[in-house]
Amino acid sequence: MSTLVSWLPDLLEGLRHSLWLTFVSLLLGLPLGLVLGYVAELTPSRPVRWLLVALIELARGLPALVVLYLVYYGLPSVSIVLSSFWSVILAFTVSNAGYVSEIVRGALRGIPAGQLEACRALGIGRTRTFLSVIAPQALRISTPSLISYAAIVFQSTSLAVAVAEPELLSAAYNIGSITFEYVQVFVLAGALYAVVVVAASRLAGWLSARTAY
Amino acid sequence: MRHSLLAHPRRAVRATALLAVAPLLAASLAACADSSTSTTGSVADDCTPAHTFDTVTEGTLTVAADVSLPYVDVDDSTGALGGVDGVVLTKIAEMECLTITNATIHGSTAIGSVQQGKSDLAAGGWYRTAAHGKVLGQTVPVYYDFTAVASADGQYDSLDQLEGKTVGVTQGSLYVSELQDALGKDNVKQYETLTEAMTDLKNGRIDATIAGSGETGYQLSQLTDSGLDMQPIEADDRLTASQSYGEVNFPHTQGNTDLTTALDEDIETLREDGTVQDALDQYGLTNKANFSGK
Repeated sequence: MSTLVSWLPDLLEGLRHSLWLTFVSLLLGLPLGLVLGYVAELTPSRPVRWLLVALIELARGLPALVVLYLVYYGLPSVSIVLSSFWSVILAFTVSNAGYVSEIVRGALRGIPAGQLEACRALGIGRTRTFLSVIAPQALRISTPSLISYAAIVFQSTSLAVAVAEPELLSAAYNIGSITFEYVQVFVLAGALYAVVVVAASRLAGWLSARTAY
Repeated sequence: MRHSLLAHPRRAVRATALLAVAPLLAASLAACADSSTSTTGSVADDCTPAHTFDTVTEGTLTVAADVSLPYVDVDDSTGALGGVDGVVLTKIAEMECLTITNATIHGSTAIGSVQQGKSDLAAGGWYRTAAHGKVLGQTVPVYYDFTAVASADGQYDSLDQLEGKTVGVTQGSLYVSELQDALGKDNVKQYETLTEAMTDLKNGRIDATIAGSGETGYQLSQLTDSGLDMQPIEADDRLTASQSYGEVNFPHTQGNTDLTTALDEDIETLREDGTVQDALDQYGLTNKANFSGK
């Protein structure tokens, strides 16, 4: 038991790092996905919509690990060398933007078209229509899905072990590789992942119930 | 309204087919997971083993091979072990009338494989250490290695020079804890393999790597025009490995004393008859200290 406790500082430091990776990648990926989803869904230009949908599908179709390897090992060949942290952030932001835009597009489809027509009939501009009418409702509809997705992003940060980023799994692996007590340390790391994910799932469920029409 | 499978025969057929296919799929996936395992060598009917000991699988020596030249290599076509450790183990298997089953396992997972009883021993330039000794059996030294620092133009050769720099090491290596104490945790980056650390060193993400001389030398030989070079690290109280040579051995199942005795005596035989020296020469560990440890 004392051994498990002695590992906690390193694991909690790894957990903090995983949460930070999740936060920063969502901070960049959410607005990007929001804009992509909004423009792709509501633009009147078909070529623009097709292009954006193609980009969204590409971002969703590529496994995050492949994007991460492309960024981490591929970019140096064109003299762009990012640290492991920013490589993870860039890769996850691309991936997040794709998934978030799909969530946003789904939310936008849930808003009755009549509201847009009503705004137009009242002479309300496009920007104000989006900010005051569409965005609040889309956010309300998509929040539970976004929280669930954030939990998935948090789990996905374990992929960062592939580029030696010191997140939770990496911390657990480092401890295991020195102590050889892999079962115990991975169970402990798994429990830490589970605590965060279960809490996020409960939050998403609670919000979903509260925001249901 | 709830749907039942019985109310939808096609769904029932699909579900049944899925249930039938799932175990086959699982079995095929399990087979894929073991695809890096191969068995080599043959044993004559009249072969008399030099020793008697139990192995994980009767008649074969199961080796967790942490593939990393010059220590261990696995021939893609034949599955035969190469590298210094591989050559020595192949000889030991011959002496003990065993075939060799090798599983390619990276990094410290190889040690885990031995610990879990999946492999008889690990090969890959493993040093004798107190930490390993707690959970594994360790043999007498097969040969010796020294600690080397790789950096741009080989500019660093001491811990003092590395203060404030980012140093790459492999996970589970004996340098990790001491380097973290000496240089700070944030300045020691841990990689699954030295190849990844060397790639980051070449790309400028880290300032140096610290690893065994054999592995470092081999990695550098693979990076053409990298501008990287290595130096032996200066002896430093803060890094135990800098004060003595690493004793490369074959970590094996703890408590299997018959196996320990057999491996120890076979290693002594192979050191005396020149097999170990020949293997060292073959894989570029030509410094006389690699054999003598002095």
